[in-house]
Amino acid sequence: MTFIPVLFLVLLFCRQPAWGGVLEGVVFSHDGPVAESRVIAYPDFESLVRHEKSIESSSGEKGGQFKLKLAPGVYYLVATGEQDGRKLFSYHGLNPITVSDEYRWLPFFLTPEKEPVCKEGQGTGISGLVSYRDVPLDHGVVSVYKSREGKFRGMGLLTNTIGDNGLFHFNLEPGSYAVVARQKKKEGGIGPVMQGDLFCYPSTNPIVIEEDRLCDLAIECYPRDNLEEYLAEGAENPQGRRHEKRRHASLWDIQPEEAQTRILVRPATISGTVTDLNGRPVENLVVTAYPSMGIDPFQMHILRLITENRARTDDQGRFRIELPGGGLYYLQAREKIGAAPERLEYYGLYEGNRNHAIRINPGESRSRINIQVAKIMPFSEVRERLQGEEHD
Amino acid sequence: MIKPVIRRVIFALALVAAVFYGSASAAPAEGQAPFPAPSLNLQGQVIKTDTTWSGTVIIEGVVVIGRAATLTIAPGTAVRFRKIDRDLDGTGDSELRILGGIIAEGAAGKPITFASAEPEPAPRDWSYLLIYTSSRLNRIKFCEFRHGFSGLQVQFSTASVKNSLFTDNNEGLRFGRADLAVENNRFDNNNIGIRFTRMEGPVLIRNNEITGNRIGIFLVPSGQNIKDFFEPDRGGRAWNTGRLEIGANNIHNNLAYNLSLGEKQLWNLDMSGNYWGSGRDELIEAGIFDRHRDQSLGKVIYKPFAAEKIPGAGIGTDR
Repeated sequence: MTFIPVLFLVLLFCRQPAWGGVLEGVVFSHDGPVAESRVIAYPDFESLVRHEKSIESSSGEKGGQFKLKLAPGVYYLVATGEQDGRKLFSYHGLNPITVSDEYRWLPFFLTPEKEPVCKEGQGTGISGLVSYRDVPLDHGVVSVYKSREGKFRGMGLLTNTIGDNGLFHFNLEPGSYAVVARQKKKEGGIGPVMQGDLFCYPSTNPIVIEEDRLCDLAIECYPRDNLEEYLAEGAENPQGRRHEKRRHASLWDIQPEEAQTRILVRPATISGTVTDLNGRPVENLVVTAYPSMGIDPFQMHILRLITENRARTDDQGRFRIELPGGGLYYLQAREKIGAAPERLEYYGLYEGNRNHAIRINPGESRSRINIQVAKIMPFSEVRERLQGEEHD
Repeated sequence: MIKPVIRRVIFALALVAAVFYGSASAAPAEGQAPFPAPSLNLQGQVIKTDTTWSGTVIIEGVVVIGRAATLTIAPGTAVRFRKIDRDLDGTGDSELRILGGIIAEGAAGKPITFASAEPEPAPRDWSYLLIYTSSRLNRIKFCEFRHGFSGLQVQFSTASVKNSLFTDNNEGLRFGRADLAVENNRFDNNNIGIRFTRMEGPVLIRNNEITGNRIGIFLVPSGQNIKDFFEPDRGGRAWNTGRLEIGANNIHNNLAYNLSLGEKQLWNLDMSGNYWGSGRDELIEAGIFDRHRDQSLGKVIYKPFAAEKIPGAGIGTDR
């Protein structure tokens, strides 16, 4: 009988392809949905920068809506469009996003593209103006990240506060950087972008800084998950009649941490306290968890190895670090970031084992981790001797 | 009921354990001499309380002296490192790492020795004694370092290193940002006698005998985060004035160079007052790798120099 093998082959070839997720959503600007807009997915940040390996959306049911089918995986999602002759851009604040086989509704908030203006002879770095709906911010923070990091969360390489005129400035070494600004609605400083907080990512990221060139940026923000505030008076609300249903599926409706749990990877957390040699808590130190791959514990001050896995201690010396996943992490507490240990700086390594490291599984939480710190090099063996001779 | 014989055995074992533990991990009471310990075997671990070592101490793996602890080593103590090379890089992994403090003060004729535990020892059998981000004033005196990748490393710490011998290591002494006095030591038969890796200080290198190494002294600045020393405008003075003094040393008969500047060491350095093995300029310059050989480097200012060996340089008795 040949019936059964033939049936098997028919069934085999009739299997549906293993598509991952279906993403739908809307792309809109201050003036409402943007027709002819596109959402583009890239497999990694480098591809986004090079505009390679892209997967583009198709149009949705209505103007400004899109539909995108993606195989399971990690993607960087951006949207582009044009309105009144102006080019518009949006970088999704949760990038990189892992797509599974679930349905997702994603809104993209477009802001105008603005090219940086770079000049020679004014130093090496990045300066600029951060605004929301064309009004300069009066508070908030701007962070600079090494562009190769690809994940632009936390304090980054450097973080500065925005002046009350919306201006900021960074002196930098030549290199490629990404700039992200944020404004917390309730409080200043670092933390997840919550509903109503402003998120600001310029379309020109990453910005290449050359020696003796200062690049000036104009960065426009949008509010997280607050369409009503973003839309101009009288603009069409793109949420439409299926508002409630769609919001339920929106990534913006959940906290970044929860989003990661649900659709990215399962994060791990390390928490504990930092104390001095007398057991007293030490506040305002930076506790960093360095992934162990490729470095040893004594390279943790090297600028290029800087990591986002860090947190500051509170007034009780407590810290809590969110990690992107499991692994082996070196733990260090100190005052500075990205610089070699300095005289009279509080410094300490985790001493729970000789590697100064904690191995943690995805989704695991490790608490009661103590790091002892002390001010290093408080004594001088030769400084006075040499300086005395210098003055003689 | 426990039989009397068994009870005596348990008591004896407890006594031995108490003596062993006490000598290894407890600080002696004030004024009390360290207990003469039998051989002590330490494997990878962190020691978090003040500790005194004496006798013979065997280290296998990385032993860390925690930030709250000070390690005191008695004169005549032999610290031996077993060769294990888990990462197969050709260098033994055993290491003594000091985050707290170390007082290793031997005596003339009774040095503290740090060396390989192997029957046929060789350079790189163990990693180093590393003093890292210490908050203490560390003291190394009348010690001998043999067979290490580096005998001693001092990084982001304050220390004095005196009357000690560094021989048969890949590097005798390496340090980066440090507040360090290196006086009356002997560096011989190492690949590099002294290696200063960050060119930050202050550092004093005085009255040392540095001979028979491939390179006597190797000076290379850090590529990043330079502090303290990064001040090119020194008002016409050499860059190291008041920051790094290398003077009154006998630096001679090293195989490749008595002194070599590493990549990016762009600044002129005052190294006057040393004996370089000759009274002739061309022979002294032949032993120094600086701008004479590579235009991108700084110049070593070696004049005035000592025409004869400096008496009193080297280990001596006590200073």
